[in-house]
Amino acid sequence: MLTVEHLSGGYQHLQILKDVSFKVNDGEVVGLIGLNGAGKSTTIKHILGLLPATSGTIKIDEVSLKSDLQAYRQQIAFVPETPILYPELTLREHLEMTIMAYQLDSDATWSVAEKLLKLFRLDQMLDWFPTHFSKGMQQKVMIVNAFMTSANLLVIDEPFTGLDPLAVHNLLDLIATKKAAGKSVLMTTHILATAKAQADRFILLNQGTIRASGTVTELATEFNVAPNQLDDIYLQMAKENGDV
Amino acid sequence: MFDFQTLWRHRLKQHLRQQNKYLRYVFNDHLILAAVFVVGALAFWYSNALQKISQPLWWAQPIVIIILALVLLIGRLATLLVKADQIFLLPKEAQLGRYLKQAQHYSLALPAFVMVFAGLVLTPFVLRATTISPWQWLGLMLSLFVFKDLDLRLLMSQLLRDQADRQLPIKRIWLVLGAVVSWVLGFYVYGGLALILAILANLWWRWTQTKILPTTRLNWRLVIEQEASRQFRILRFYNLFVDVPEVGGHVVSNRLIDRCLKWWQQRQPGTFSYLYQRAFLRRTDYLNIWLRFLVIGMVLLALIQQPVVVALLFLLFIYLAGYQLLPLFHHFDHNPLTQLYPTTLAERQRDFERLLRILLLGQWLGYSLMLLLNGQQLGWLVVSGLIVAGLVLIIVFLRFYLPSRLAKKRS
Repeated sequence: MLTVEHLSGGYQHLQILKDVSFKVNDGEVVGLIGLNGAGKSTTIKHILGLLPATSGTIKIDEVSLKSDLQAYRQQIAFVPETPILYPELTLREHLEMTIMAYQLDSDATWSVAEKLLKLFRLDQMLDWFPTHFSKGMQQKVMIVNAFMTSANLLVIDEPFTGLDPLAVHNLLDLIATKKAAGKSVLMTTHILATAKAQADRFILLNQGTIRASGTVTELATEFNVAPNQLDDIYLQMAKENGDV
Repeated sequence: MFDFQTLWRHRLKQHLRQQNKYLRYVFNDHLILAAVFVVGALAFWYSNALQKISQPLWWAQPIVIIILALVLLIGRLATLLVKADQIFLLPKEAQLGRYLKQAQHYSLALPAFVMVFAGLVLTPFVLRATTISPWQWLGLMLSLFVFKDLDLRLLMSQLLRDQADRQLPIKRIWLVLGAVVSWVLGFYVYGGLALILAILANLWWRWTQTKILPTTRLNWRLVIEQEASRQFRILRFYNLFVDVPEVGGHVVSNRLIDRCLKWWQQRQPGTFSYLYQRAFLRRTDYLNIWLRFLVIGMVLLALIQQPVVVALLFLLFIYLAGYQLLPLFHHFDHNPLTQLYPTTLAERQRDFERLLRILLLGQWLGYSLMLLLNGQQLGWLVVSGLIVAGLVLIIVFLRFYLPSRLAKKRS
């Protein structure tokens, strides 16, 4: 379970998040949504420990970054918005590296990885270098890399960008599997229509604070939009901010 | 109001600022110290070799001509144009001529420096080993400048759209061949001939271009591609001394490297060893640094037989090889994956130390071999003392210097 309490932070000279608190329970998928610049990626960077928080605490199953960095990171797997691969490593070596870093059982993890590679049609490309992959394929590598671990929290940043419809469908299935296995999933997205298929709740960020949170129906009621027209929330938000 | 002269000044200022930023790392204290020793040793060897020349050598002219031809090929056209220019400058393309002229002048600066240096180094050899007079040699050297100017004009003409289909490599080969012929005539007939031929070729080319230049437009794709690749080469060089973020992943992979990796990984397992070994062998930059130090050090140690110079070179080169490989530790810092792995800094440092240990021991082994080959001249006591001192230096470097350097960088 991920617990974020009174988180404030941002970059050195730019305070972005102001007193953000939320939870992602075991077996729950939470969508972090908001307009560009709302603070979604910043929140994720704080959770990953890539940015130091000004104040507040972040814990995964009672372990915080400060109390035990290694144990904390052992609990997180991350799929970034932009693929971040090592140019010097093949696909096989990336997976091998993750197995070593997370100290996973090699045979068991490879058997999971092989299924994932097949699912994303990467099984014949194990000896390819990142330069040979398209952006979408690189994103699939990142998904395989994260989903083959046994991390309790999956953080997925804009997962549907650059993926083909089949890969989006497969990813949603994988999220459902993790959810069924009792793992927590936090994902940021703009594509609410796709995300709502798996997300139990949404947290709506606006200008660094939580503007609203709840299920699709709850958000639709709050913003007075039809549940099948969720994207209209963004328009409402922009109006509230005086942008339109 | 926008004008191309201001744009050029702005671009040049930016470019020079970037060069200045990185050159500080290139000409660091360590490198200057090494350069002093290497240049000193080479100058000493060159001076001794010159003393031995008492009569003209038949092979002197061909060697000098080959060196001049190689010097002629140094230096490309620096336009300092960037990708966005093909959109934002396109409407004003017709006025770009003045900008390109300034680019051409600037492009002559670095080759001019290399040509002057080559001239200064070659002069004593030419005057001792050939029958050419100083004035004729001066004429030959001046012809090199004129040919280089022509070379840059050829490169510029390739960037014009109507000329892009023509095969430049052939033209450049013609230029080099023409220059070689003129230098042959200069050496064997009369030195002034080379200069006269160079001036005539240059003037003829300018005359042909006066008709083409005003009517043709830039081949933007080519200009930007060439400039980007030129800049990339420079940044890759700087990347040997300091981490340059703009230098992406130029990776080489083959069966030999894969076999080496397999061997290495079995002997030095570890999460970060896995990464560092691959970066070292597949990124040519780091491997090149290591190989260069190994080969240059071995050659110098084979040539020099003065115990004090040998001792300094032996220890200095081991230290410098280690020092120049330190940026490899931070090579993966830009990749968030490295920071997200559940590993500790101590683990990463340990793996890097292991990698450096094997590389420095490789240097030590190569240099020690050269010392042993020169054992008779240097004295066995000196050789054995140095071999032990080299080992001690590696231990001190890895145990004390490396952790303190990394801690300093972190703070």
